Amino acid sequence: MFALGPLGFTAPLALMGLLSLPILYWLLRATPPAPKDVVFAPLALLRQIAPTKQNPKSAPLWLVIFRLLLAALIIIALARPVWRPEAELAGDAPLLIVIDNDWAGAQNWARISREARARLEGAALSGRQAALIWTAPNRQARDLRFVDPRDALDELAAMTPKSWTSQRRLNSDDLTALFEGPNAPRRADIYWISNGLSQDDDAERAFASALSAHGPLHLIQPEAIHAPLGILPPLPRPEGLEVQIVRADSRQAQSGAVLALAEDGRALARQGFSFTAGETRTQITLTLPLDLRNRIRQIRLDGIASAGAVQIMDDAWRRPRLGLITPEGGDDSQPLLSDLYYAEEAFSLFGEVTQADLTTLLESQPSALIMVDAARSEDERLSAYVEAGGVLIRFAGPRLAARGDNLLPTPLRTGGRLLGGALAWDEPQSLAPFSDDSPFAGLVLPADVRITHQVLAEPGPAMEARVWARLEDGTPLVTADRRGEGWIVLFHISAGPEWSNLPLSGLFPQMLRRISALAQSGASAPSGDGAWHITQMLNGFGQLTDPHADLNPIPASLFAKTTPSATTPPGLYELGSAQSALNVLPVRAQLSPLARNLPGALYENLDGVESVRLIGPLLILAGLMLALDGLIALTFGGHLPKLAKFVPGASAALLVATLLLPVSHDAKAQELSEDYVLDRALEVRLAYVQTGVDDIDRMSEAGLSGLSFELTRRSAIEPGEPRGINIETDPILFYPLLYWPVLRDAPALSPETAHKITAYLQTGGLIVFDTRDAGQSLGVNEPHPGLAPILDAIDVPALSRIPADHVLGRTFYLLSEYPGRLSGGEVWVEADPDGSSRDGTSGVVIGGADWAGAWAVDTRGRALAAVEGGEYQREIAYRFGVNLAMYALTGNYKADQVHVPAILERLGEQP
Amino acid sequence: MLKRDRFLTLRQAADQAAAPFPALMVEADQIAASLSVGIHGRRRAGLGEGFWQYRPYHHEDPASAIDWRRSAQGDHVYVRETEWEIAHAVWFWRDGRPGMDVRSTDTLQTKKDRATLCLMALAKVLERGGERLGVLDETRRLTQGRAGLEQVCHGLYDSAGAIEPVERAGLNRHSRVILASDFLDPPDVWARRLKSLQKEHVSGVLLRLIDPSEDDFPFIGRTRFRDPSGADQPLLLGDAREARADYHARWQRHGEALQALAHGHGFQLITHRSDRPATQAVMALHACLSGGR
Repeated sequence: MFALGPLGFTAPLALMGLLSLPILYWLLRATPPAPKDVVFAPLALLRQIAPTKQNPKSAPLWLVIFRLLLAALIIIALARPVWRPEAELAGDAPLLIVIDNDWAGAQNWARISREARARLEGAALSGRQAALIWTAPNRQARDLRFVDPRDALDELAAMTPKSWTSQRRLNSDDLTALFEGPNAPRRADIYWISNGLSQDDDAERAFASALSAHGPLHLIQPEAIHAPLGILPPLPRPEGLEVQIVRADSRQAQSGAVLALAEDGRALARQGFSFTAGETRTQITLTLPLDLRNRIRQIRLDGIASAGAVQIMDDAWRRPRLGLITPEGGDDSQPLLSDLYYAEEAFSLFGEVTQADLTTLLESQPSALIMVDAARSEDERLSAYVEAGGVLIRFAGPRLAARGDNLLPTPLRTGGRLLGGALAWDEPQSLAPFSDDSPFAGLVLPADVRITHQVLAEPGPAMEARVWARLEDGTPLVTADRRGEGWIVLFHISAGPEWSNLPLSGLFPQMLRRISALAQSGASAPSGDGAWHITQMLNGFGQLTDPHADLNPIPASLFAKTTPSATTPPGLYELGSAQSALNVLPVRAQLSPLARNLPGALYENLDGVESVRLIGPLLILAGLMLALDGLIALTFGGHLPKLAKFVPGASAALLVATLLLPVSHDAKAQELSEDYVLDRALEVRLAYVQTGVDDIDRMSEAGLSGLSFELTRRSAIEPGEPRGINIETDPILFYPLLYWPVLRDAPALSPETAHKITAYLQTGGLIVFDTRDAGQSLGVNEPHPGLAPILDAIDVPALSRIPADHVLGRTFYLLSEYPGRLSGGEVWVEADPDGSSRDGTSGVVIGGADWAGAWAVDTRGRALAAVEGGEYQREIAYRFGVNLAMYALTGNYKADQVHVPAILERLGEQP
Repeated sequence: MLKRDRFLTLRQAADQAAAPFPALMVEADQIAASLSVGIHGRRRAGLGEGFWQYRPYHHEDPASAIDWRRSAQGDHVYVRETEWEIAHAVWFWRDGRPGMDVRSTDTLQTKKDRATLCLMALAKVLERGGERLGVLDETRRLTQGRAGLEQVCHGLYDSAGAIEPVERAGLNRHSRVILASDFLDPPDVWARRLKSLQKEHVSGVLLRLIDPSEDDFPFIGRTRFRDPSGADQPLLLGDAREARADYHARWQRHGEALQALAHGHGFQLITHRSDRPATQAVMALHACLSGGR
């Protein structure tokens, strides 16, 4: 190694090549560039010019210097320069690298592995042996010994960080094993690339002193800003979830964000957090409605890939699964009076309600069962379910009033109580405020809730504690009792509105929601037997992956005390249908930094200066210079006479073209050319929709030509040549009237086109649909197969047969029928034009008379098609066409004429 | 075969160049019919087809000369005289020496091809006017009409273009000669040649063809200039750009010398760059032939 300040050369002998530069200089100066050869006829004239000193015998000086620089660059590159090379290790002691590969190391894994790789590569270059110690325990024991650094590099590349914590006590054993192995050296250079996190201070001190006993110990720590962060299990709060974030190194202010993710990976909430300097713990609240809160599957720190930055949300956080027991004989009451209906409506606001019979429900292990009076059952399995931690919510009713059973929180009196009836003295009762120890505490009572009928609890000493809600007169309304692990909750009224109007009030679902909270907590603590199987494992980077196949299940009794380890990795565990999460950080966990005074350790920062190998950039630069030199040589040879002008111009043009290309392309796609617009906007033109069938299109065009001619001849409208348009691609806003022959197999409209047509109609356009079948398909029950989809796609209001006094019959000519080539068909217009936004003008006219056929003329003005009713009918058809065009252009202007008879009559009355 | 193709290509190009000259369109555009080339009245009675005048019968006139139609109108007998008409003899010479076979870029025609093209086009126009045409080479034959045009075109194309036919012309008096060349021989050499033509009362047009590179001298950097004939030593310039101003001055002087030379010997000089449309040259040639009398 040869170094010039921070620049080192790994192959310094190549620098000897620089000595050849003077010879190169002499060679380059001596060789002029090759001339360009031209045949030149007026050579005699040229000869008269004295051959002057303009003939250079050598290349220009700047070119020589350029080429010398090029040669020097290549020589220097071959000497393999390294900017700020890693300090070389003294001596030839083997290398020992201890790496914290636990979840906290995962956060800085890229840096850690780069650091380790650099050290191992250095060892490989100097031919020393190396060994790796991983601090996170693995399930399989490793063979610990000093090996070739290349093997260690392979091992490093294959290692991914673990999602459990390091066990530094075990690491001391590893160390002992390593140095006691056969052929083990006595001393080594030791690097401990740590995660900066302290697990157990005593163990770390012991480990550090053990390490330093074998050689100099360099302890490499992440910088404060990269120190590990962790997220603690969230705590439910009324407005959302409270999340605590902890960190190991509190020296600097720091900020970040917490993400709440749903099952499919969507972010449901994101909330920033920040630490001030000196803080190791901060907390934020993710504000979320309950519905969204129930969908959260993970809470994690944004942008930090570590298992400690993830909290998996398990069953305890989800919507409870509620089972609604259906009566055995089926529910015979009317839907809106049925208890089942009200119960389901209320519970489904916050839970997954399943309606099934008892057997089916019990198999699916719901977190609560709801039993209305009609579904009453005294099944043994019900009490077993409650004993095992289930919640049974019952509603009273006539059956319960007649006879109690043993699944009740309190004994009932037989018969119930009727308030406010015809034969009762009592007024219907309202609710008393909830007491503070009731689960309903804090709910607001609506003033109009009245209870007219209830079942009465037998008074007794134990009853007081079981009452959750009372009526104003003190009689219990909701009672509850623990039964085994579970709860039985009884509403002393029915779930429907027969006994009270509570189920109709907003209070009812709120009360039920409070009760179902019992079910949530109950679900996370199922019975003590069975075992939890892992279904998804959290890897070190905080991603859920498939678990290893050979992991043992955790007995349910031990699960609560389990901490993450190699044999019980964090992740999602399953027992039956219940899911539970094992997270890296438990409640109230703390992260503390690695002590700064471990015995014998020299502290270094991870991510210090990094050596940069310069050979690549230098060779690239030399290659570019070589290419440039080629261009220069060509220029000198005269092969590129206009190089100086060409290169900047072309590159600028290329740049501009690159910049403009997408823009101009977009502009082209979006905008219509001015010519196109002017052509269509400067003159009134009729237009027809091309059907793709040549005969029909030709007839449409000829028809509109004929109509245009007649319009010019008869009226003030002087339209230009008609246009055929492709309804899918061409703009239609220029045309006042669109004639649309509809085929039976017309293709459906694209959504954009439908939108375009709707907009056209909204802005006052007129579309004449012509089915060309004499109205055979209109007015019959079967819809026209081509027209119906079109009308469905566009926003057409209700249609009706054209009324006798419609404006269309009087815009120019007075008409009472509207024939085309065919007669007798009906014409349909919008039923209630007064209601439309277009000032009472119908946007569509639908008929089947083949009007274009009647209007069609050839270039010499001769009619093209025979008309059913002869020339008279053709004339009427023309008159209708003129009326149509007038209607399209003047709208309801002529509607005033509806009153003309009355006006005339009034005039006549005057003398 | 290839040569035949090349000939046809040139013929096609010549057809295109001649297209702007419908037969007597040029003549009609001119104020005086006599200014146009071709069968043109001499404004005196003579052999011809156009009516000139009626004159009283002289007894030496043959009886067949009497215009009976006119004579029947009155008591006198008239003879119908026609206008004297004459057709020119026009000789073409196209320089074919190595210096003419040069072009600076592949997109251009060589000076030789361009000269051939211009002369062919001109021949077509003149043929429509009825002139007698000939190629000034070893065969030296005047022809007329469509078949003659074919011969002339072939002659122009195949002609070796040696200088000797020009130097020993021996043409009829008042013939016209069109010499197409690059006129790069020293001006005094050309002075001798033109003088001998002038002695024979032959006048005409010099069509001077220039390759753009000769006019612009666009060369830069080290350049080796070679003689087209290969006979001379090449000239190597270290930086052709520096020689440009000097060359331009000499080129200018050469052009002026040629202009003076032509003027002094009854010739007109038309300078044509081969990167300009051939039509320009043909038009100029035609204008010279019709207006220069």
